[in-house]
Amino acid sequence: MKPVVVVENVAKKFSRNANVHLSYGIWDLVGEILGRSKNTRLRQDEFLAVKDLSFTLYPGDSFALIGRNGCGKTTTLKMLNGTLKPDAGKIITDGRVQALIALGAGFDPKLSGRENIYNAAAVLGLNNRETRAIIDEVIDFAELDDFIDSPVQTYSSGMKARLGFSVAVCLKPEILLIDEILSVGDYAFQNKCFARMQQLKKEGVTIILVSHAHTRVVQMCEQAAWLHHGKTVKTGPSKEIVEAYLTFLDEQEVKKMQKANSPLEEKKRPASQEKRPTSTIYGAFIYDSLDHIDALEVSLLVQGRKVDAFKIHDELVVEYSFNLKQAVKNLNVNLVFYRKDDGLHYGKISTLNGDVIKHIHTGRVSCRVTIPDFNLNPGSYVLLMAIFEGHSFLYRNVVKEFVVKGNGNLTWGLMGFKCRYEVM
Amino acid sequence: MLARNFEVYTAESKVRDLKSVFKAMLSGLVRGRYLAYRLFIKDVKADYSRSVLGILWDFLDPIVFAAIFILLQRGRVINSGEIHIPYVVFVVYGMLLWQTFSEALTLPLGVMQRSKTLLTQVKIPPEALLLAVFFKVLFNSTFRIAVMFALALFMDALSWVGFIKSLLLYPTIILAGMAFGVLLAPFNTIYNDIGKVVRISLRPLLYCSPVLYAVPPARLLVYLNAVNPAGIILSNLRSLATQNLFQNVPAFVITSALLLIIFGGGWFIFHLSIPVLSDKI
Repeated sequence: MKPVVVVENVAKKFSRNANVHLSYGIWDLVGEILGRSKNTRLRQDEFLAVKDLSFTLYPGDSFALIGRNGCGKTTTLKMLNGTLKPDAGKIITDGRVQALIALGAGFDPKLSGRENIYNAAAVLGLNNRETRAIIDEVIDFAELDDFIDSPVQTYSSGMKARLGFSVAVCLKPEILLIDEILSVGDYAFQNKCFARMQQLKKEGVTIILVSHAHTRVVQMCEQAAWLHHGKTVKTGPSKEIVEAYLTFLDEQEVKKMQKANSPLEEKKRPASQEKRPTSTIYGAFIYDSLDHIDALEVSLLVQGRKVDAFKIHDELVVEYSFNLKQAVKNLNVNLVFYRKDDGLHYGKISTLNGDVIKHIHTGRVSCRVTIPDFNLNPGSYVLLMAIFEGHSFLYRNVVKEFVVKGNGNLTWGLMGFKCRYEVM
Repeated sequence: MLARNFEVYTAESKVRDLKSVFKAMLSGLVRGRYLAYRLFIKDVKADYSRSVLGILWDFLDPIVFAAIFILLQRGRVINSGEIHIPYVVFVVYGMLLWQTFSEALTLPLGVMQRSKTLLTQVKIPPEALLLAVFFKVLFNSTFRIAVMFALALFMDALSWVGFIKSLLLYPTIILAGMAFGVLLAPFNTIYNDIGKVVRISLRPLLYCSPVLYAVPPARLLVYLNAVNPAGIILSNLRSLATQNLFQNVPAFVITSALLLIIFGGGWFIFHLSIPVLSDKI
């Protein structure tokens, strides 16, 4: 198969203080006009933002670039996109390239969403007829039907992101470059975007993703490169690379903490259990890997029937089961309730109280938890399940979303008290 | 959908393959047409989004300026010299053509900075930016041309044939501005001083050019005007529109040809400069 992206020993330098060294720009431009090649010789205040980067991708491949801010990820995407000229090496792209380096590049806040779709599509190379052909799909995907003729300056950042992403994915690119643009927008839309990207991948689109959402990286990409200060530290299967990178981050974090608050208790975790901190509104992080458990099943039951919605004060039963993929010594499970919209933490039911499942070391774990009076006020909630051994998480993720409905009484605040009222 | 691309990006200067550069320049002109149109529409809408009179302001300015000179001439404060058309027509034509030249010179100067978000994130044909500038100057010119036509008709100084000829040659005054504007644009992106010098120089250059005076009041200005491309183009277009005669055909042709060469060189440099300067904008 013919490769569609070839990156060979690419390097790019920048000046730390471009405003002071304006003459560099003139010399670079004059050099280009006179036919001189660029080079990696560093002038005063210059540094290599990317050095000696190489990889090859084939149709349908998905590749992630990970690393800390300023490690050269976006610079690499910009070189792949042709907006930056490399200072060494060679980049070949064979196919229609679409870069999502910034959502809504070219959006004018004073113009309406519809007018901006035409502008953005033009920026991406479409003419009027081609834009008309996709505009309904774009509006539909962006879920902005009611606001599409309002000025973009009245949109939230999430709405702008939805509009920009919709324009980009509706263009049917062959090579898609995505730069951490899905950190905006609501959770549902993020999922929708990832579903669309998965679909594009299946259709043979080559995807290069820059992201700090490492679970997404593992889900989305087979291969990854970890960049550090412009240098490629490691390239390989994304899971391995992400694990190596997160271990590195943990080490860095521990070093920082040790420096700031010594002496610190050393926290030892199993090698395969380093934190994968994807910050969410539901607690510290999400660890949704199935490395340690599988066949997880969770049900909410009211009067023996599985439900996703029930009334306040109903007796709620939570049933869960999962297989342990490894022997454990100190197993515990927390069921944590959060308000869906803002992640307000309502409470936790833990097996730590009473060491309920401490005796289980291997095999399948099945439990039933009964809450006789579920007294959270009407609204949308999520149930997060945290399975851990000792202090190390085996799993931590949202397992259910559910709605509590009213029972005819007015409610205020966060909880409804079941009570008996007597006039004396 | 998106154009199929096979792209090779290296550290080598593109100048080493001149044929590819010229091909890319021409294809950029074709591919960038619609984008240029959208950028132009966006600019116009943004410019006039919070203005009641909108575009009127653009030509009220030179008319007010010209009116002052008319009053000065009537009061014999200044001497316009010998001219064959009403001074009002002479000065208004001169001012409006000068405004077109000045706009065509200054708009390209800042085009890279204005398009910074685009240039640093999306690969677009550089020609789209130049075309958008051209459309904008052309759009603003239509109102000026309307004023020139109405004034000449009102003052009985209109040569229909000459006016049509001058309309056909009108792009030469845009060329006069854009040739230098496009050439200096990449350098102005790095050193903004260039744009400031150009803008400051425009006012004295106006008084040195045959905009307000038919005969230059000083001998030095006669020599200066002989090599002033904007002045040569402007005075020829004006005499053509009002009297159906070229003031100096050879000067006009040679100047236009030279401007075309300068513009070509500027376009070439502009095209090459985008990927080199996009991180320095």
